[in-house]
Amino acid sequence: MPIVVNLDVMLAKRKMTLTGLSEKVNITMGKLSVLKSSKARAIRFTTLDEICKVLECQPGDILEHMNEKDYKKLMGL
Amino acid sequence: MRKYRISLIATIIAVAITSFFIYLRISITGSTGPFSMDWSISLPDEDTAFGGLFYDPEISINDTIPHYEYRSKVDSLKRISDEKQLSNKSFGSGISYGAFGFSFINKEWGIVPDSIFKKDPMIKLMDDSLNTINKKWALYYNNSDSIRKFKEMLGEIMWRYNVRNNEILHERDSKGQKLYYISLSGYNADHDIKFFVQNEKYNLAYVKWDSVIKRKFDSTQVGHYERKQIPVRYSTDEKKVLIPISNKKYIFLNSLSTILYYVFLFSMTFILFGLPVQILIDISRGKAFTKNNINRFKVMALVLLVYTVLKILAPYILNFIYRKQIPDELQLEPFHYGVINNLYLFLIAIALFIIGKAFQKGYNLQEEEELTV
Repeated sequence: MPIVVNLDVMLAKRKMTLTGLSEKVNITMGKLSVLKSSKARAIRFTTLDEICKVLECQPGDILEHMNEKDYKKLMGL
Repeated sequence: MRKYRISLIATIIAVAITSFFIYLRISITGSTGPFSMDWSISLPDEDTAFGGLFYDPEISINDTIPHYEYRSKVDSLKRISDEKQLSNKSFGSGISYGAFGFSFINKEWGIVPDSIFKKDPMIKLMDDSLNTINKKWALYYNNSDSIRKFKEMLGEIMWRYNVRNNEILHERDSKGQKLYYISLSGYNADHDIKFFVQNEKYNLAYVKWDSVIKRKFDSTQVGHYERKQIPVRYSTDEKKVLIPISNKKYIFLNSLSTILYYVFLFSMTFILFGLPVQILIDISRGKAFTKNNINRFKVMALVLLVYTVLKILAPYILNFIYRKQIPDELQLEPFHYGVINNLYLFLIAIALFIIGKAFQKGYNLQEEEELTV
C-alpha cells in the first residue's frame, strides 16, 4: 500500500522521541513502531486525532500517498 | 446479490442429491428380480455331482433299515456333507485391509482321516486306557469314593485326549501344504449361483432356464443347474473373491502391505488424531488463529477427502486389475452403495474444510486488528 507514514519526520521537527509520544497519546511503543515503519494496515481517527494534537500538525503532515514506483524504491522492495 | 448466489448453489446441490435418491428409490422398486413368476429347478442331489453341493443324505439312504441305524448313517453323512460345504464357504486365515487382503487355506481342509489320530502314540495310549476303564468300570462302582476317583480319572483322560487332538490338528495345519490368495471384498452373487470346490478346482453352479410352463392364471419357469470352472475361489459368507497366488508372491505382497499399512496407520493417526490435539493445545495457549492451524485443517480435510475417494474407488480399481480372473457372476456392490456408506466421511471432510476457512477469516481479522493503530 503506497502510503508512507512520516511520523519520524514530525517527531524530529518537534524534537520528541517515540517513547515520549507513546506516553502522551497512551499507545504502546509496539503499535507506534508498526505505524512508524509503515507496516500498519489502518489507523483509527481517534489515534490520528491524539497524534495530531500532541505533535500540533495536520493528518497530511503524517500520512503521504506515493506512486507505486517511488514507494517501492523508498521501502527497498 | 452474493447472498442470493450462495443460496442458489445450496439449492442446486440439494436438488442434485435429492434427485439421486429419487433415482435410487425408483431403480430399487422398479427391479422385479428374476422370479416374477413361479419357478422350479431340478437339483442334482447325488453325492458326486457338483461336489455334493445339493446332496441330501436323508433322501439317498434307504429308510427300510432300523431307525437308529438310519439316523446314525444320516448324521454321519450329514457331517461329511457339512464339512464339504464348510470347505466351499471357507476363506481361510489371514488379514484384511478393507477392499483387499491376504489369506491362506490348508489344502487338506475338511475331515481329518482317523488314521492320523490312530498313528499317534499318545492317542493310542489314551485309547488303551479308555478301553481298560471301559472293561473294568463296574469294579469302580463299589462306593462313592471310588466313583469320584473314576470320574476324575475319566475327566483327566478326556481333557488330555482333546488337547492332543487339537495339537495333532494344529501340527497338520502348520505342516500341511497351503494355498495362498489375495482376497477382494464386497462381491455378491445371485442367490441361485453357488460356489463349490471339486478335485481342487473351483466351480460355479448356476441355473439354466429351460422352459416356461404357462397355465391359465400363472406360469412356472423350469430350469436346471449347470456348472462352470472359474479361476478364483469365492466365499459366500464373507462375500470375498480369493485369487490364487504363489507362496513367494504371497510373502512379498503380504510383507509389503503390512509395512504400508503401518506407515498408513501412523500417517492417519498423526493427521486425524495428532493434528486436532495440536490445534486444541494451540487454542488453549491463546494461539487459535495461526497459519499453522489453518494448514492443519486444510491437511486434515484433504487427507480425509482423498482417503474417502480411494476407499470408495479401491474395490473398482482392484476389480479392473483382476477383471480377467473374476467371473461375471460375481459382481461388486453398486457404486452408489459405497458413496452412501461413506457419505459421513465426505461430510466430515467438508466440515473440516469449512472450519479451516473460518480460521483463515479469523486469522485475517486478527492480523488486521494487530496492524491497526
